[in-house]
Amino acid sequence: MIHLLGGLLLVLGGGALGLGYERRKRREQRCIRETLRALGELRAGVCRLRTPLPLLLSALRENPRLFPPGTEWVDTGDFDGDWADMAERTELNGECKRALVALGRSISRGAEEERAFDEAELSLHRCEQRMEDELRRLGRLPGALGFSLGALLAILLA
Amino acid sequence: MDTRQSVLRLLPEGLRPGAIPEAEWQNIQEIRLRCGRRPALLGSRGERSYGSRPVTGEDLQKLLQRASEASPYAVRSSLRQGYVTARGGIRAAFCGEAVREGGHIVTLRAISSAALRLPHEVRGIGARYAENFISTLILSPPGGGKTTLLRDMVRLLSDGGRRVSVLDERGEIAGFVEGVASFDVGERTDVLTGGEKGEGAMLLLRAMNPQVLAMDEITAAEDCEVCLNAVGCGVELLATAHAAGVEDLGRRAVYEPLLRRGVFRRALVIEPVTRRIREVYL
Repeated sequence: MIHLLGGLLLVLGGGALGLGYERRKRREQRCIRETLRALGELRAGVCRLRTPLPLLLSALRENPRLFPPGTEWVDTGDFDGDWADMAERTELNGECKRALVALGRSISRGAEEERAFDEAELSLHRCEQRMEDELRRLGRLPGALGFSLGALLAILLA
Repeated sequence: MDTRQSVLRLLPEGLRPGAIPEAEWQNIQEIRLRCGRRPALLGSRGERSYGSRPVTGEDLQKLLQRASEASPYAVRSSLRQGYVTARGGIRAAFCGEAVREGGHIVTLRAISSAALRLPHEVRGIGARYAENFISTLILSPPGGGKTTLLRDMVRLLSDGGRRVSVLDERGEIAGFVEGVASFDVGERTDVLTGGEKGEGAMLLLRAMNPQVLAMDEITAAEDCEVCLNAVGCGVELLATAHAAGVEDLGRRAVYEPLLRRGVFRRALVIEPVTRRIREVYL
């Protein structure tokens, strides 16, 4: 009975790992899409309405995962550090985080904002596309592989 | 936040001056930063370098970032004239590579030098001249304390019962940031920040019904035209101009209409170094 339970746990554990990988990728993909939406609003504020960043970021506070509340940098003067921390706290991958950091640096230094947004959005779209391709290619493989490995382990240990 | 804190907050860490006594701080007109040179303090006796390391291009970019609250795109209209007014009414002036479109400067890049103008609020220096007020022109060379005297006189006139409207073109007189004034400009004062003097003056005269119209730095024929129109509306004027004295003013053709038509009935001449104020009836 114990062996049976142990085997079942191994199979389920393996499956969970596999499904967890897929879930993580989907979450990253959702995060990229939400970031792109937020960047669209930020772009309108920066390039068309010319709204100062403290006001803009306060308005975007609705989505705290992307633009966490707080404009402490207005008093500390460390915009670069706060913006990089914000990018680090997102669930984006390294490439997307770097794109966000580069965007913050460009717009806060008055360096061709439209082009900076274009480059950031291109990076995020590329990441999103790669993720979509990977998920389509893998299909149900991660989950199935996880379950299979769990089962194999259960058999070997039995 | 007081002026000293506001200034120190703008400067990158390695460029902040060490402990400066309050008396000396009051004499500092500007902090000058030039790429490749040590930073310097400008006072009535000239510039004095401080610190051990030269200013870098990154320092100046950081200064622009802080002065504009990471939003240089939002202050383009003032940046194309070479300055940004930061919190606390501090004017940060920049020099660098001009970016032109359609034959006009639209912004600056590759900032190579900057000057932080430190505003000073000295309460009471205008007390004697706010009583029995008549249209007054404040004169001194650049950095002589004209804006400081103007600010105090605006406050005194306003608190004394007059409706005062202020054309604060560069945001240095009242230092408004998001609707909050950095300096006390009095109970009955309305401030228009930014924009051009001509348009701004007409807006204030029509909308705010002032008894006194105050403005800083009459330098061009258009500014003189504003004064002539305002006087025609029955308003007293309080303004500043760069000149060592009335004789110096009279030598410049642009001010001839103002002197000939008696727009200003009094000049307050601030002497350099001593900062003593000499009252001259015109």
